[in-house]
Parts: sequence; C-alpha cells; structure tokens
Amino acid sequence: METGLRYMLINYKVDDLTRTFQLFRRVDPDHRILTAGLTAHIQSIGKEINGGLGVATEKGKEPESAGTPADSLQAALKWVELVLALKAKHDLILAEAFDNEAKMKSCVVEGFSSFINDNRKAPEFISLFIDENLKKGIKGKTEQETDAILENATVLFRYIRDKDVFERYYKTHLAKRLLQGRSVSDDAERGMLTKLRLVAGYAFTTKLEGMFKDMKVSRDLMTDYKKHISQSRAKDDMTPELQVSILTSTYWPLSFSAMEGGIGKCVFPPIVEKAKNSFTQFYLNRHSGRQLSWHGGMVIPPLVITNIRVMPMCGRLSRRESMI
Amino acid sequence: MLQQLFTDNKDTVYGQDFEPLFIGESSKFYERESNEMLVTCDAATYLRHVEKRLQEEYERSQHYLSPASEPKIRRIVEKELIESHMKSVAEVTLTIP
Repeated sequence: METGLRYMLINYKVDDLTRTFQLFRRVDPDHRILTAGLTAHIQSIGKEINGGLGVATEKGKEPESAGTPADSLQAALKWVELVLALKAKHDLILAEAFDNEAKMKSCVVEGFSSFINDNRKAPEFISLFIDENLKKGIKGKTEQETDAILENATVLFRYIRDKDVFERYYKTHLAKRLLQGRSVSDDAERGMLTKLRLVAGYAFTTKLEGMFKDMKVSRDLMTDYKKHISQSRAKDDMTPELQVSILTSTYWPLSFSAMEGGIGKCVFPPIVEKAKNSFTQFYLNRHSGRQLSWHGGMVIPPLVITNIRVMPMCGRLSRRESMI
Repeated sequence: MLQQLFTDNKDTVYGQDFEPLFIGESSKFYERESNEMLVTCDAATYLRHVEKRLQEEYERSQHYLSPASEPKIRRIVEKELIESHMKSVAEVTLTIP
C-alpha cells in the first residue's frame, strides 16, 4: 500500500501533510524535496484529467474524441470542472498544511500551468466554459454567484501561456453571443471583460471592447434607420426591414470567404438586395468615405441580420470609425 | 545532572568522553531504527514517531545533559530520521507491504 506524500495529498490528510512540511523544513528550508514532489503529483493528476478526455497531449497528434460540438462542449465543461476541483483542493492544502508558504504556492502554480498548457484544447475549453455560462449557466443566479463562476474561469485563464489562442476562441464565441442576442446578462459580459483585462492587460481586451461598442452604435443606428424608413418610403413598398449590425472589420472574427466576392458568398434574394441598397444609401449619406461589405454568415431567420464590414478610407483609423 | 558534576567544557569527562560517545551511539541507533521502521510502518506513523523522538531528545538534553548538547543531538535525529529518508517519503515510492 502506498503511504507517502502522494497518498496524503490524494486523501487530503492535512495533519500528516502539516507534519511532513514542518519536519522537512528543519533540514530543507527551501522545500526542494517537497515542492518537487508536489509539482510532480499535480502534473500526474493533470495528465490523467487531460488523458481521460481523449485529449492528445503529444504535439502533432489529433485528439481522438473530437466528435460533435455538443461532445466537445461536454468535454470542455468536464475538464474545467475537474481542474477547478483540483485547484480548490490544493488551495486548501496550501492554506491548512503548508502555511501558504511562497515556494509551496509557486510549485502548485507550476504544476497546474504545466499540465494545462500541455492540453492544446485548454484555451478553447475555458472559452467554451465562459460561453456556456454567459448563455445559460448564470441564469437565475445572484450577482455574487455569477461573479464566482467567472472568477473561476479567470483563475484558469491566468495559467494559459498563449493568450492569443484564447482570444481567438473568445472572440468567436463572443461574436455569436452578441450577434445572435444569446447573452443572458450584459453586466456579466462586462464583468468578464474586466477580469480578462486585469489579467492580460488593456491591449488584450481592446478589440473585445470594440465589439461591444459596435453593438451599441448599431442599435442606435437601427433606431434612426427605422425612423428614416417610416418617413421616406411609400405605403405599398413591401421591402423588408433589415436588422443590420455595423461591425468594424478589425475587431470581429469575420470570415473573408463569406464576404462579397468570396467563395462562400451569400446570395440574397432581389427583395433583400433592394433593402440592402436602401440601407447602404442611408448609411453612406451619414458617413461618407466608408466601405461596407455584407456578411450573411450570421443570419438568423426570419430576421435578416447582416454584418457589414466597415473599411476606413482616406487613412482614418478603423478604431475611430467604430466610436462614432 | 551530568552537567552539574562536570563543567561544560571540552576538557571535562563530559565533553571529552561522554558526549562524543553519546552522539555516536545515538547516530547508529537512529540509523538502524529508521531503516527498520520504514519497512514496517506507513509514512504518517513514521513521521509521528520522528516528531516524538525530536521531543524526547530535546527534553533529555534539558533535564539530564548539558544544554550545549541539544543542537548536536537534534542534528543527529534530523539527519538520520528526516534527511536520509525524506526523498522516499516525498516521492511515491514509499509503500508498505
């Protein structure tokens, strides 16, 4: 039967761990042996968590259980849940047995960081976890409960070395939430953004914040456009009203193949084309010198939501364009 | 007791004859004891025993020996009971049949 450090950690033997820590520090004040053992233990449990989900940890090898999006969501939620549970347990052990000693703390960070970054899907999993919660999970939860969930996600985000990969997933998920109106709470969205900014810095969230700004500008614009139509068009005009979001091209994860002229171009029926032209005219009258490009990729029937790419002309910065 | 009979000094019988012998024998004793214990008992029990031995030696040095011997004997217990075996306790290898 195994009885060493690993056994004590797995079975949460706080008294024995405290004793080990106190006795070892007499002869090993830098905790070299204990930190090495603790890091190795976390890495091996982490490897099991990664492996249990069929996630390939070797580079170049594709994960076996890619499956459907639903499978991958379940895998993501399970992975996040297991990692968070492991983290909570070791936070307790650090506080109760290891005196929250700095070297002990940093070896726990090292262990988590190592196996989380071994999992190439970790950035996607964390973003999926946030996405699921902002769409459904936090429904009916109090502000504090919501904050706790998002804080948990932030804890994992902190460990991710390649923050850009995370940003790519987060942007895609956020774009869908915003354009399809699937977010439960705007406050929670903003809260999450603030947390990401605190970890990764202002530059990291600039584009994400730009997406929120675009949505607000678009809402205001649509109000004006509706007013404009109701005043200008003839009574028997059956042209449908469009719901348009104006998106700054550099902020959004737009697929260029779906753009006009691209391979995946969306062909609109003539009646929609007419509505498009009416909108384009309205828009360019207000903001001359911009280039609009229609994206049909995010359409939700029966409403037609069309994303327009705003291209700055005459050397104006695209960021300014979005802040009108 | 002993330290009252002989002043605590290198030239005394205590310093010259007793203390080196005491330290040497203790060292051998703890080396043997720890090796025996680690094949029969689990890590937690072993560590509790180490804690007890440290306390015993501390009290002995305070009551019967010269307090000057305390760091020396403590060092022996720490070396033989902790330092020599901490790797096997920390790594996953420490198992009992």
